[in-house]
Amino acid sequence: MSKRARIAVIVLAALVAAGIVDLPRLYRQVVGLRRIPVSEEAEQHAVLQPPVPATSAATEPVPMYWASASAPGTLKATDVEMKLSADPVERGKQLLAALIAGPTDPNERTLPPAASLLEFYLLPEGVAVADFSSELATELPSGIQSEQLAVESIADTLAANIPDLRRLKILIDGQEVQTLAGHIDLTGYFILQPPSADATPPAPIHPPVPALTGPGSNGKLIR
Amino acid sequence: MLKIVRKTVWFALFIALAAAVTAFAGAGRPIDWLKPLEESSSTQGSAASSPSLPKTPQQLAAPSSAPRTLQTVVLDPAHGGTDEGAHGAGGILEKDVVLTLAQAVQARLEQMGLRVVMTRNTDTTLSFEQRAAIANAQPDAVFITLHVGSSGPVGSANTYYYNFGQIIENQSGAATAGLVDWNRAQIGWQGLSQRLAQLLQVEFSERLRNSPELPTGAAVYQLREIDEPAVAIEIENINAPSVETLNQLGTPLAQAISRAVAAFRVVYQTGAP
Repeated sequence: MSKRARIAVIVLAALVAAGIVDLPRLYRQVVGLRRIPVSEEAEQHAVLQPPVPATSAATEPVPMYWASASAPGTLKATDVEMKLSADPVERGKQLLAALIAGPTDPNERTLPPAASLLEFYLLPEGVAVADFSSELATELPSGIQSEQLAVESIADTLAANIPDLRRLKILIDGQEVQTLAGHIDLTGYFILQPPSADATPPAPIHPPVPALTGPGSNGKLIR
Repeated sequence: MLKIVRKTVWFALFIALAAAVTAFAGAGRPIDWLKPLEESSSTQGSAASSPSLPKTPQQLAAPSSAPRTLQTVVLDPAHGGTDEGAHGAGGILEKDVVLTLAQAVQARLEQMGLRVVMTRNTDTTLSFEQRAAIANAQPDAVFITLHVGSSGPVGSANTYYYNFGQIIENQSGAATAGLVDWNRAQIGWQGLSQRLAQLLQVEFSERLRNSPELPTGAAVYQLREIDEPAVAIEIENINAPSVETLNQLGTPLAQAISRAVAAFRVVYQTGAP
């Protein structure tokens, strides 16, 4: 082997060695890049959920949607005096806790008292996620109407009291489930709008959630 | 020959140096070859957010608008087997009541000359998919599932149809293929299902006390998979004083359903939504 060829081999060997030494840094870059989407999502989440739950000083009448004792199968709004937080996430938790606590007339109850709200999230584009304990399904009176009124009361109460909510996802024990208790479809997102006088249940959108660009996207069901 | 070898070695050395300089100059910046890794990660995230969508969805032919003749009623007594449904205070089980009521309805419809297919005639466990498979195998049919509720006035009945609301087609590719996914088979039948529900509910309001005059659009999961006009009827209430009270509803229920189905045959034949 000539002298030049030996030099070339030595240089190449040095470069390979440098590459091997640099491998850990490259690996750290790969790991760092993988984490980027998570950190962006966390930042968005932080923006949407300011840590200051400013509660109004005075109580205000808050419409809660429970079953109508006089018109079976429908809901009616009952004003409850509450101090609601200005933070939409805290407000959602307050509303759902009050909904579970129930009305004075137990016949108007829509959610079982044994149920509890595990978590309430607010995602971009006005998507609310309400995660309930399994008692919401297991302790609910069986039937299509019971399940429909349960979902409807959650949706209407949130829509009436939290501006800009557009969709609702209901989870049970942190999981997406096929039905609430064997009847009503929970695989999709319910479209929210402030309830009108004749409260009707929302219709689900199924994932992936489309952009709300179509005409008349209120999604209220027709009776 | 030696010259050629030398030139080749020098050329290789030049290329190696150029590559090394490029790599070190780009240190600290995102590297292009990592992009597929990020894209792969986001794709996995998207799939995880829609677990209800099967990887290779079963699909059905989209409903035709051509005139047709209603020949078959698929009757589905809900629950059954290990799924007992609602429990009444006196030990009444929904799965038993709906089977008795369905058999009463079956007899009446067969008297009209209609073919009736029961999803179950015994105390059998059936999944939604199995019930849908039975229904979807019947051409020119309607699907009626019978339930018993536990919250309405005893003796009343409510009819439900699936309302997809403002749904926008998902990205399953069904629209381009001219097919619909199994779990969205009902989407093309929503108008006819609503019409059938209206006809049924009018009959119930006249024959079963405290029944409303209008049906309800609701997200009843079971109906999603039915590839024909489909409704759910919920009779109240499992907490009736005795099972006889509920079983006696069989006659007015059968009359109401038979009249509504007879009226619906005309709608169905003309293809009107």
